Amino acid sequence: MFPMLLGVSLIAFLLLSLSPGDPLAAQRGNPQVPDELIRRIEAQYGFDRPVPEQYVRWLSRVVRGDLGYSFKFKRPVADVIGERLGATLLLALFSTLLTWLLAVPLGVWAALRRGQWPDKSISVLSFVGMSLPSFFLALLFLYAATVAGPLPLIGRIPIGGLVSPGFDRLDLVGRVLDIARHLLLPGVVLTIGGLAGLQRISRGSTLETLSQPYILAARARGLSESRILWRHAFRNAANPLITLLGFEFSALLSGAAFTEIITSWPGMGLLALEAVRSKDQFLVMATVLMGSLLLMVGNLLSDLLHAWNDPRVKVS
Amino acid sequence: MSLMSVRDLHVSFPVRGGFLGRVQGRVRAVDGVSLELAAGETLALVGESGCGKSTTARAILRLLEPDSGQIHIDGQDLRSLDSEALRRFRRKAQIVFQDPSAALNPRRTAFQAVAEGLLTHQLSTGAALRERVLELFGLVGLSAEHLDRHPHEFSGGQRQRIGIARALAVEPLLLVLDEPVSALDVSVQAQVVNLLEDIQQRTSVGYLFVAHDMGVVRHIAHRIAVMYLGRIVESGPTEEICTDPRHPYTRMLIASVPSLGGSTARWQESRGELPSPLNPPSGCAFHPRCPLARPECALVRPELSLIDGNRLSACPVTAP
Repeated sequence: MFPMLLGVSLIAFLLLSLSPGDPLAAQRGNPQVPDELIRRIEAQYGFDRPVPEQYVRWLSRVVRGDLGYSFKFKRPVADVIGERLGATLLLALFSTLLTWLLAVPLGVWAALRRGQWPDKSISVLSFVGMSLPSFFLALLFLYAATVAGPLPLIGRIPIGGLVSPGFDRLDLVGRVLDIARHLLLPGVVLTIGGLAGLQRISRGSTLETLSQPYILAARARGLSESRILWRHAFRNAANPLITLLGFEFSALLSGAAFTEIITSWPGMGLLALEAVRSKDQFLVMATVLMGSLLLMVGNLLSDLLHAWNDPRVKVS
Repeated sequence: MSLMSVRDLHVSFPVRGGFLGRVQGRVRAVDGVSLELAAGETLALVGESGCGKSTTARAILRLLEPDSGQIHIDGQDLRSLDSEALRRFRRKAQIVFQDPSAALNPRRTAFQAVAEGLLTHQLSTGAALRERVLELFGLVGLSAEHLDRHPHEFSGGQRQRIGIARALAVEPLLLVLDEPVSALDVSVQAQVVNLLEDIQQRTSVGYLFVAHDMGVVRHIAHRIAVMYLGRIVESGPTEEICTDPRHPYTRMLIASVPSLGGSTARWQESRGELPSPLNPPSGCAFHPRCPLARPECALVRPELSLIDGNRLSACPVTAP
């Protein structure tokens, strides 16, 4: 795990130093900031040193828990990340949960009705869903939300951001509802993006499991079809889905970037874009580290789920 | 009254092809098979792979839906049962599959595999259930320590023992054994075959034993039915079939087993491959491979006819 993080950070750091730009560009352009101060900052953060030394200095600070300072936000990187990570996790959890709750049953249903109208119509919708790029879908939904105006129950669907103006004046219930309303649009866009692929895999995996000899053997013993499906087929069919869950969760953190940017969801994706554009070196590195860390957490999660679901896998 | 009676069974599969996967024809996997089996008896259904013997076995239990024909087991017309009645009837007729690794759910323990049938058919519950499962384990040569293990922790032979215990749990009258030993090592094969014989002596269960190995069949079967390309070509008592095969195809099968006196080089030469059931040869389906074939064999399909009083053969050339 640590060698991988090391490799990822090294490559990211090198690429970043090769790219043009300057984290202190804004300060340099400001006539009020004396040259003397800029040189002091450069010396303090090691920008005047060779790249390898800069990397080692950065690494030794990170190991001690200091992620550095963001020149764009003029605050410690850890504070900025902490603020954005919550929003991204909220979005990722919401859309992952929604995707799974919809895609897996739809896949199983399509497998049971293979070749009949439910399967065929779900297949068509899945291919449409897979073919639509998320940014296009996000724009489409933004447009629809704007045109639709206030809806019954939820009112006007917010078209961006995490909270409404005046959020601070709301009570706890009001705050939760406000965030939920903002979550709706990016959450649904991400769900539709992930739904199609997962439904296909769930369908395929269920079909494959249902064709196994032990399913025929269960039928031969006179078990009911529902018991065959849920006790015998489903837990075996879930294996490839669990593998996917780990990837999907971490992919959502980075893959959500497009949606985050378009719906101005203040998450890691939007943050990473802002950081790269202003060459905010320490912030970029922190977002990269965070991304790889979450990928590993996702994989660990799916490994643990495997061990729980499959007696052949043991946690050692 | 016979335990199992099958009359004129037909099973076919659609062949799809082309751009839209339309049905382009049907393969006649089982083409008019009739079989009889008495309680406590073992009938072997033998033939090369692809001849339709496993399909026949599965269609008899309606694990595959036959196109036509009558199936009676223990006096019950199986084709008249709706799905719920069939599910309850399955208690009386069980099946053991060829590949014990694939036929056991990798996620279920040996205990769960064996107990599930008992629970489904409400034969045993609670503490009695564990006792009964242990008893079945004893019957097939497994012990209490194996109860909570998963299939991957067993050897192939042990897995097949679980498969047999699982099928015997509901006390069936008929046990279909679909190549039960062909996936096992030779030494383990003998153990499992002996186990099956023991069980039959104790319970007088009837076996429909599907196999391609004449050596194993000769050991366990009372009667043999030889199948070629979806049809029975010869049937009769085991010893008579093995010592005096009439149909050229049976002779070829027996000649291919050295221990059964693979005497004649002539039969060895005639081997070749099973033709495609998609486009079976005209007349007698065996004629392209048959060393005794005459011109008329390609024209007229011979029917099974009685020879020697208790045997049937579908070859007019070798008939007396």
